[in-house]
Amino acid sequence: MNANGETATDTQELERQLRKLLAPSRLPANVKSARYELGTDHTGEPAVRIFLDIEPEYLLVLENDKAKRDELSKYRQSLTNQILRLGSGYFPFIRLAEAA
Amino acid sequence: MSAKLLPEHLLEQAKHLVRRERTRPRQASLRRAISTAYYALFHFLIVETVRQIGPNLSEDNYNRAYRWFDHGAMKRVARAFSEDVVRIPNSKEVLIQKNDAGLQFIAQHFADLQELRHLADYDPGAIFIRADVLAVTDRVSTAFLVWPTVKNSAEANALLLSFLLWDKWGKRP
Repeated sequence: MNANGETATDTQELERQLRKLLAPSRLPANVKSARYELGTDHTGEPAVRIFLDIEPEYLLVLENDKAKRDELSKYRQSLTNQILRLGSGYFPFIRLAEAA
Repeated sequence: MSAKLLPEHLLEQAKHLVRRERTRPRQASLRRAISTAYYALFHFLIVETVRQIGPNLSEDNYNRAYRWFDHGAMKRVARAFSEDVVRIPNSKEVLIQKNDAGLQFIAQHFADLQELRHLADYDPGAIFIRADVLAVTDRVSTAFLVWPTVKNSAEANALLLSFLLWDKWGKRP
Protein backbone atom coordinates (compact mmCIF):
# COMPACT_ATOMS: atom_id res chain seq x y z
CA MET A 1 0.00 0.00 0.00
CA ASN A 2 1.37 3.46 -0.87
CA ALA A 3 1.12 6.77 1.05
CA ASN A 4 -2.29 7.44 -0.51
CA GLY A 5 -3.72 4.22 0.85
CA GLU A 6 -3.89 2.52 -2.55
CA THR A 7 -2.77 -0.97 -3.24
CA ALA A 8 -0.72 -2.03 -6.25
CA THR A 9 -3.90 -3.67 -7.59
CA ASP A 10 -5.79 -0.33 -7.46
CA THR A 11 -3.00 1.40 -9.38
CA GLN A 12 -2.76 -1.47 -11.88
CA GLU A 13 -6.50 -1.24 -12.52
CA LEU A 14 -6.26 2.55 -12.99
CA GLU A 15 -3.40 2.10 -15.46
CA ARG A 16 -5.37 -0.57 -17.32
CA GLN A 17 -8.30 1.85 -17.65
CA LEU A 18 -6.01 4.71 -18.70
CA ARG A 19 -4.44 2.59 -21.44
CA LYS A 20 -7.95 1.80 -22.66
CA LEU A 21 -9.10 5.43 -22.58
CA LEU A 22 -5.94 6.66 -24.32
CA ALA A 23 -5.79 3.91 -26.95
CA PRO A 24 -4.96 5.40 -30.39
CA SER A 25 -8.36 4.34 -31.76
CA ARG A 26 -10.17 6.44 -29.13
CA LEU A 27 -8.20 9.66 -29.60
CA PRO A 28 -9.59 12.61 -31.59
CA ALA A 29 -8.39 12.81 -35.19
CA ASN A 30 -5.70 15.42 -34.63
CA VAL A 31 -4.21 13.95 -31.48
CA LYS A 32 -1.26 11.87 -32.66
CA SER A 33 -0.72 9.99 -29.42
CA ALA A 34 -1.32 10.29 -25.69
CA ARG A 35 0.76 9.39 -22.65
CA TYR A 36 0.27 9.57 -18.92
CA GLU A 37 2.32 9.81 -15.73
CA LEU A 38 1.04 8.93 -12.26
CA GLY A 39 2.27 11.11 -9.42
CA THR A 40 1.08 13.90 -7.18
CA ASP A 41 -0.03 17.48 -7.69
CA HIS A 42 1.80 20.44 -6.13
CA THR A 43 0.06 19.86 -2.79
CA GLY A 44 0.97 16.17 -2.71
CA GLU A 45 -2.42 14.72 -3.66
CA PRO A 46 -2.62 11.90 -6.24
CA ALA A 47 -2.57 13.15 -9.82
CA VAL A 48 -2.41 11.71 -13.29
CA ARG A 49 -0.79 13.92 -15.89
CA ILE A 50 -1.93 13.28 -19.42
CA PHE A 51 -0.17 14.69 -22.46
CA LEU A 52 -1.97 14.84 -25.80
CA ASP A 53 0.67 14.96 -28.54
CA ILE A 54 -0.30 17.20 -31.43
CA GLU A 55 1.54 17.96 -34.68
CA PRO A 56 3.08 21.49 -34.78
CA GLU A 57 0.99 22.40 -37.86
CA TYR A 58 -2.24 21.58 -36.05
CA LEU A 59 -1.15 23.56 -32.98
CA LEU A 60 -1.02 26.60 -35.28
CA VAL A 61 -4.52 25.80 -36.52
CA LEU A 62 -5.73 25.63 -32.92
CA GLU A 63 -4.18 29.01 -32.17
CA ASN A 64 -6.37 30.63 -34.80
CA ASP A 65 -9.55 28.59 -34.65
CA LYS A 66 -11.61 28.80 -31.46
CA ALA A 67 -14.19 26.28 -32.74
CA LYS A 68 -11.43 23.68 -33.10
CA ARG A 69 -10.10 24.52 -29.63
CA ASP A 70 -13.62 24.09 -28.28
CA GLU A 71 -13.87 20.65 -29.92
CA LEU A 72 -10.66 19.58 -28.23
CA SER A 73 -11.84 21.11 -24.93
CA LYS A 74 -14.98 18.97 -25.12
CA TYR A 75 -12.80 15.88 -25.52
CA ARG A 76 -10.63 16.94 -22.55
CA GLN A 77 -13.73 17.54 -20.45
CA SER A 78 -15.14 14.14 -21.34
CA LEU A 79 -11.81 12.43 -20.60
CA THR A 80 -11.59 14.25 -17.25
CA ASN A 81 -15.08 13.06 -16.30
CA GLN A 82 -14.35 9.48 -17.35
CA ILE A 83 -11.18 9.40 -15.24
CA LEU A 84 -12.90 10.96 -12.22
CA ARG A 85 -15.69 8.37 -12.48
CA LEU A 86 -13.13 5.60 -12.07
CA GLY A 87 -13.02 6.74 -8.43
CA SER A 88 -9.28 6.21 -8.12
CA GLY A 89 -8.64 9.45 -6.22
CA TYR A 90 -6.18 10.53 -8.94
CA PHE A 91 -7.09 13.92 -10.38
CA PRO A 92 -6.44 14.26 -14.13
CA PHE A 93 -4.37 17.15 -15.46
CA ILE A 94 -4.53 17.18 -19.25
CA ARG A 95 -2.13 19.22 -21.37
CA LEU A 96 -1.29 19.58 -25.01
CA ALA A 97 2.26 18.77 -26.12
CA GLU A 98 4.06 19.15 -29.41
CA ALA A 99 4.40 15.79 -31.15
CA ALA A 100 8.03 14.89 -31.82
CA MET B 1 -10.39 50.12 -4.48
CA SER B 2 -13.13 47.62 -5.16
CA ALA B 3 -12.08 44.22 -6.48
CA LYS B 4 -15.43 43.65 -8.18
CA LEU B 5 -14.13 44.18 -11.72
CA LEU B 6 -10.75 42.59 -11.04
CA PRO B 7 -11.62 39.12 -12.46
CA GLU B 8 -12.75 40.52 -15.83
CA HIS B 9 -9.73 42.81 -16.05
CA LEU B 10 -7.34 40.00 -15.18
CA LEU B 11 -8.86 37.75 -17.84
CA GLU B 12 -8.56 40.54 -20.39
CA GLN B 13 -4.89 40.91 -19.41
CA ALA B 14 -4.29 37.14 -19.71
CA LYS B 15 -5.78 37.18 -23.22
CA HIS B 16 -3.53 40.08 -24.13
CA LEU B 17 -0.42 38.29 -22.84
CA VAL B 18 -1.13 35.07 -24.71
CA ARG B 19 -1.30 37.00 -28.01
CA ARG B 20 1.43 39.52 -27.10
CA GLU B 21 3.90 38.18 -29.67
CA ARG B 22 2.50 37.79 -33.15
CA THR B 23 4.50 34.74 -34.17
CA ARG B 24 6.73 32.97 -31.65
CA PRO B 25 5.30 33.54 -28.18
CA ARG B 26 7.78 34.06 -25.37
CA GLN B 27 7.56 31.53 -22.57
CA ALA B 28 7.45 34.49 -20.15
CA SER B 29 4.27 35.79 -21.82
CA LEU B 30 2.61 32.37 -21.72
CA ARG B 31 3.60 31.81 -18.09
CA ARG B 32 2.24 35.20 -17.03
CA ALA B 33 -0.93 34.54 -19.06
CA ILE B 34 -1.54 31.28 -17.16
CA SER B 35 -0.88 32.86 -13.80
CA THR B 36 -3.11 35.83 -14.62
CA ALA B 37 -5.90 33.56 -15.89
CA TYR B 38 -5.72 31.58 -12.64
CA TYR B 39 -6.01 34.75 -10.58
CA ALA B 40 -8.97 35.87 -12.72
CA LEU B 41 -10.87 32.73 -11.72
CA PHE B 42 -9.60 32.82 -8.10
CA HIS B 43 -10.82 36.40 -7.61
CA PHE B 44 -14.05 35.67 -9.49
CA LEU B 45 -14.95 32.87 -7.07
CA ILE B 46 -14.06 34.99 -4.05
CA VAL B 47 -16.14 37.95 -5.28
CA GLU B 48 -19.10 35.61 -5.83
CA THR B 49 -18.72 33.96 -2.43
CA VAL B 50 -18.49 37.22 -0.51
CA ARG B 51 -21.37 38.66 -2.56
CA GLN B 52 -23.59 35.69 -1.69
CA ILE B 53 -22.77 35.34 2.00
CA GLY B 54 -22.52 39.05 2.81
CA PRO B 55 -24.41 41.07 0.21
CA ASN B 56 -24.77 44.07 2.52
CA LEU B 57 -21.28 44.21 4.04
CA SER B 58 -19.61 47.59 4.38
CA GLU B 59 -16.62 48.08 2.07
CA ASP B 60 -14.18 47.63 4.98
CA ASN B 61 -15.77 44.37 6.06
CA TYR B 62 -16.09 43.20 2.45
CA ASN B 63 -12.33 43.68 2.12
CA ARG B 64 -11.71 41.83 5.40
CA ALA B 65 -13.85 38.88 4.30
CA TYR B 66 -12.07 38.86 0.93
CA ARG B 67 -8.83 37.93 2.69
CA TRP B 68 -10.23 34.79 4.36
CA PHE B 69 -9.68 32.62 1.27
CA ASP B 70 -6.83 30.19 0.87
CA HIS B 71 -5.54 28.67 -2.38
CA GLY B 72 -4.95 25.18 -0.95
CA ALA B 73 -8.33 24.98 0.76
CA MET B 74 -10.10 26.15 -2.41
CA LYS B 75 -8.27 23.54 -4.46
CA ARG B 76 -9.34 20.73 -2.10
CA VAL B 77 -12.95 21.90 -2.46
CA ALA B 78 -12.60 22.19 -6.24
CA ARG B 79 -11.30 18.62 -6.46
CA ALA B 80 -14.29 17.36 -4.47
CA PHE B 81 -16.80 19.38 -6.55
CA SER B 82 -15.24 18.06 -9.77
CA GLU B 83 -17.00 14.75 -9.12
CA ASP B 84 -20.58 13.70 -9.94
CA VAL B 85 -21.13 12.85 -6.28
CA VAL B 86 -19.61 15.27 -3.75
CA ARG B 87 -18.58 13.61 -0.49
CA ILE B 88 -18.05 15.25 2.90
CA PRO B 89 -14.32 15.28 3.74
CA ASN B 90 -13.06 12.37 5.87
CA SER B 91 -16.48 10.81 5.79
CA LYS B 92 -18.55 8.47 3.65
CA GLU B 93 -21.49 10.88 3.83
CA VAL B 94 -22.69 12.57 0.67
CA LEU B 95 -22.94 16.34 0.42
CA ILE B 96 -24.37 16.41 -3.12
CA GLN B 97 -25.88 13.33 -4.70
CA LYS B 98 -25.98 14.66 -8.28
CA ASN B 99 -23.68 17.56 -8.96
CA ASP B 100 -24.49 20.21 -11.55
CA ALA B 101 -22.47 19.83 -14.78
CA GLY B 102 -21.73 23.56 -15.02
CA LEU B 103 -20.46 23.66 -11.48
CA GLN B 104 -18.33 20.57 -12.12
CA PHE B 105 -16.79 22.34 -15.11
CA ILE B 106 -15.87 25.39 -13.02
CA ALA B 107 -14.49 23.26 -10.18
CA GLN B 108 -12.46 21.05 -12.53
CA HIS B 109 -11.02 24.05 -14.28
CA PHE B 110 -10.11 25.78 -11.03
CA ALA B 111 -8.22 22.70 -9.76
CA ASP B 112 -6.54 22.22 -13.14
CA LEU B 113 -5.59 25.86 -13.48
CA GLN B 114 -4.12 26.09 -9.99
CA GLU B 115 -1.78 23.20 -10.83
CA LEU B 116 -0.86 24.83 -14.15
CA ARG B 117 -0.26 28.16 -12.42
CA HIS B 118 2.08 26.41 -9.99
CA LEU B 119 4.06 24.98 -12.91
CA ALA B 120 4.08 28.35 -14.69
CA ASP B 121 5.33 30.21 -11.63
CA TYR B 122 7.76 27.71 -10.13
CA ASP B 123 8.92 25.07 -12.64
CA PRO B 124 11.72 26.44 -14.85
CA GLY B 125 11.66 23.26 -16.97
CA ALA B 126 8.00 23.46 -17.97
CA ILE B 127 7.30 24.37 -21.59
CA PHE B 128 3.98 25.96 -22.52
CA ILE B 129 2.22 25.90 -25.87
CA ARG B 130 0.16 28.87 -27.04
CA ALA B 131 -2.77 26.73 -28.22
CA ASP B 132 -2.96 25.19 -24.74
CA VAL B 133 -2.81 28.56 -22.98
CA LEU B 134 -5.53 29.89 -25.30
CA ALA B 135 -7.66 26.93 -24.25
CA VAL B 136 -7.06 27.97 -20.64
CA THR B 137 -8.32 31.51 -21.22
CA ASP B 138 -11.26 30.11 -23.25
CA ARG B 139 -12.23 27.96 -20.27
CA VAL B 140 -12.05 30.88 -17.81
CA SER B 141 -14.34 32.87 -20.17
CA THR B 142 -16.71 29.90 -20.24
CA ALA B 143 -16.64 29.64 -16.44
CA PHE B 144 -17.64 33.33 -16.21
CA LEU B 145 -20.52 32.68 -18.64
CA VAL B 146 -21.70 29.48 -16.96
CA TRP B 147 -21.69 30.89 -13.43
CA PRO B 148 -24.86 33.08 -13.72
CA THR B 149 -26.81 30.00 -14.86
CA VAL B 150 -25.83 27.94 -11.80
CA LYS B 151 -25.11 30.46 -9.05
CA ASN B 152 -28.51 30.27 -7.37
CA SER B 153 -28.59 26.48 -7.18
CA ALA B 154 -28.28 24.49 -3.96
CA GLU B 155 -25.06 22.99 -5.33
CA ALA B 156 -23.50 26.42 -5.95
CA ASN B 157 -24.46 27.55 -2.43
CA ALA B 158 -22.71 24.46 -1.07
CA LEU B 159 -19.63 25.12 -3.20
CA LEU B 160 -19.24 28.71 -2.04
CA LEU B 161 -19.78 27.83 1.63
CA SER B 162 -17.28 25.02 1.23
CA PHE B 163 -14.55 27.42 0.11
CA LEU B 164 -14.59 28.77 3.67
CA LEU B 165 -15.99 25.94 5.75
CA TRP B 166 -15.07 22.69 3.99
CA ASP B 167 -13.96 20.84 7.13
CA LYS B 168 -17.10 21.87 9.03
CA TRP B 169 -19.49 19.73 6.96
CA GLY B 170 -18.49 16.60 8.86
CA LYS B 171 -19.10 18.15 12.28
CA ARG B 172 -21.71 16.46 14.44
CA PRO B 173 -24.02 18.61 16.61
